[in-house]
Amino acid sequence: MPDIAELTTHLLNGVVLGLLYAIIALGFMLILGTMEVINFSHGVLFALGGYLALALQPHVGWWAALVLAPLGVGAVGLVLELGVRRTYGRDPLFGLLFTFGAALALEEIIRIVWGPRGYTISVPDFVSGPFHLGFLFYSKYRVLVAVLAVLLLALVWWFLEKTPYGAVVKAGAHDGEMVRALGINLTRMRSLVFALGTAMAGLAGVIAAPMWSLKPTIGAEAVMPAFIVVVIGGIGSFGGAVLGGLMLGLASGLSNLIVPRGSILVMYVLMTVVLLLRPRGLMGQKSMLEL
Amino acid sequence: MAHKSTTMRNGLTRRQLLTGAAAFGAAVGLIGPWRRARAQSGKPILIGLTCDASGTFADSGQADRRGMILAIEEANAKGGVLGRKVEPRWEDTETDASVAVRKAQRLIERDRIDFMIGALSSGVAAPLSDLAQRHGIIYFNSNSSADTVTNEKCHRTNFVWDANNWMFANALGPLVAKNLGTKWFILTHDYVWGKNATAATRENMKKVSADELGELMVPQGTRDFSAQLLRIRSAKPQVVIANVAGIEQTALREQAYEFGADKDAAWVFPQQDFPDMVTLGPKKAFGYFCTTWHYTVDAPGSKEFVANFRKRWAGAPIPVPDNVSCNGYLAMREMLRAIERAGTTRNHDVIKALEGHVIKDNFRKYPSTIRPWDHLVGQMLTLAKTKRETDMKEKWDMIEMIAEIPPEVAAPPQSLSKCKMEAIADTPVYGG
Repeated sequence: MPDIAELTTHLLNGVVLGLLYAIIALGFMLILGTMEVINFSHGVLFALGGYLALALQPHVGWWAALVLAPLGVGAVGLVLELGVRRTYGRDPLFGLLFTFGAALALEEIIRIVWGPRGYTISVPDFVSGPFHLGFLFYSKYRVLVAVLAVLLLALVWWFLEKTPYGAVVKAGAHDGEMVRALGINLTRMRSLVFALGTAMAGLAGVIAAPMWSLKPTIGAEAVMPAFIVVVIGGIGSFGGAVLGGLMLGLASGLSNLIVPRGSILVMYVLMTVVLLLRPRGLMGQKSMLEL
Repeated sequence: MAHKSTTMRNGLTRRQLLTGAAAFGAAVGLIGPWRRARAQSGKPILIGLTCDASGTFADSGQADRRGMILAIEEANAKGGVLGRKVEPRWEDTETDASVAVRKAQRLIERDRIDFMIGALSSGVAAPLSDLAQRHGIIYFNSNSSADTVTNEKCHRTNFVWDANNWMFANALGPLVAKNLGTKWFILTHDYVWGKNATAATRENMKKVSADELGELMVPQGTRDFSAQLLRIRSAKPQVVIANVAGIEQTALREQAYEFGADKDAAWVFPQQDFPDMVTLGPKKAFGYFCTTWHYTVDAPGSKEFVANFRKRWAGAPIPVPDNVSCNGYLAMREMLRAIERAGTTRNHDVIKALEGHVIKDNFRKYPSTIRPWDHLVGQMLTLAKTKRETDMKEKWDMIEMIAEIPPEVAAPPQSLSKCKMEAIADTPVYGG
């Protein structure tokens, strides 16, 4: 039976994991909620973020890589959107298939450039190693991950809820025709949202790379939790993505205390239970997945 | 009564017709195989390489393949095998059993390969071995380490080149218990190899009187090990036996370093593939392990082999041979030598040429033997740990050898074998 100190550490770990899942899922949710495209390449863009950081870090340092790598991924997202835009308003399967093909192509490009071997990225020196705080023992880097994740979530919330651009994004998701009729360039707005969503995938990749190592296939493993988070939280819901991420992180982290071999299974069980009770997710609205 | 010969309408007697038919039959009987043999002699010997380029064992799968390709190129440079060129046919088995079986089936049925070689994951090697036996094709399992493929699931056509879990656990156990402590915590990769490795660990724990403080199962695909590391820290073991392989092992060590767990206990990775160490680098590749070979081993022939490998694979991610690529090389080379000894590609003859064969030029201090009763290549093992960065002569010089264990001590005795192999006569004829 775990004591209170162990339980507290596992709870903290679950929250940190959850925040990480939330930022992985946020870009995915943004694109799905706004353009109704299931971006299957989200995972590989996550991996690309890590690989770009790997290439940039020796030259510009970790902090600069944290900014530049997501910008690079966002630029790739802009190019990708040129193809994706042909699928807007059509059967969601078209968008899914296009991004699936793009994911395969991008993974091959990663393999060609960096090879099939794995890499690890060092964390900045000031957050290297663990810290002890009374009974609490934890990794310094993961605390930084939590802080960065909270900052990013706050920034995206502020952008969506408090700026006119956010209002346009939300209006575009709700009624694109009306937004266009108001003289707003919907095509450009969608490009920017796609770039933002992919840049967030890249940012999550940079943050996760020092913990999870890099492999060309790491993206495929990241996209599934992101999808589960969005399904649990509800499509198009910012709060839902955060809540879904935290639930998934806590469930996955705490399951190791009870049924260690079920730490992956528990994610799918959680999704099934939520879908049975609330088919639109915890905070979701009607979406294209219901068509 | 006078004998009257039956005459056909065209003037041929029946006697003449029968004689002619017999002569034709004899000619076909003689010329047919000769022509087939001639056609075979011009035809390359096709070797199917089942090596991962993606999934958990992508790095090691490619190291395995590099060794095999070098052996094939060397054989071709000497004029081929039985006067025939050797050609590889490679498929990425993706560290996935169903993909591997589908692709191997395609290699056998469509490409008509003569032999098959390659495996890292025991989860992949076992079904490939079953498939090979059904067809009768000889299959060399170059780099997987579960014991089952040379015990309950052994096959006449299956030959296993890596040391197995029993060997690794048996070699490490006494050293670990004596020098590092007897309170052990086990991490088990949740698939055939991991479970098998933990069973071997437990068997060995009884011998060395070690106590098990706990076990955590690690599902395949796990990327975050923070919860496991926190559990291990609470258990306060002296030794962590990490029966975890591939990219999961890399992520585990990365995070153990991040949490400072590498200093909480002595970590032992009973089976260590060098490509995973390269991914981590010397700082994070902490711990003790067992290995079959490294390029720094000073043994007859190893310098030349290392030089040839470096020359051929100068641009490869790992340009030096390691335990994985050396197994790939030796397995491939011995397959081709066995064909030469048998004088044919017919499986029954090649199997006979392999069973009991002693490999002296194996770049090790002691020779290896292809054991006839379970087809395991009995070989020496080396206990090792990661070198300090300051002691490394180059980037790849990461392994410090601690002790050598000769094959007769390292390999399981025949009395422990659970292998009940098919008789050669019951194995379908393939090739030739």
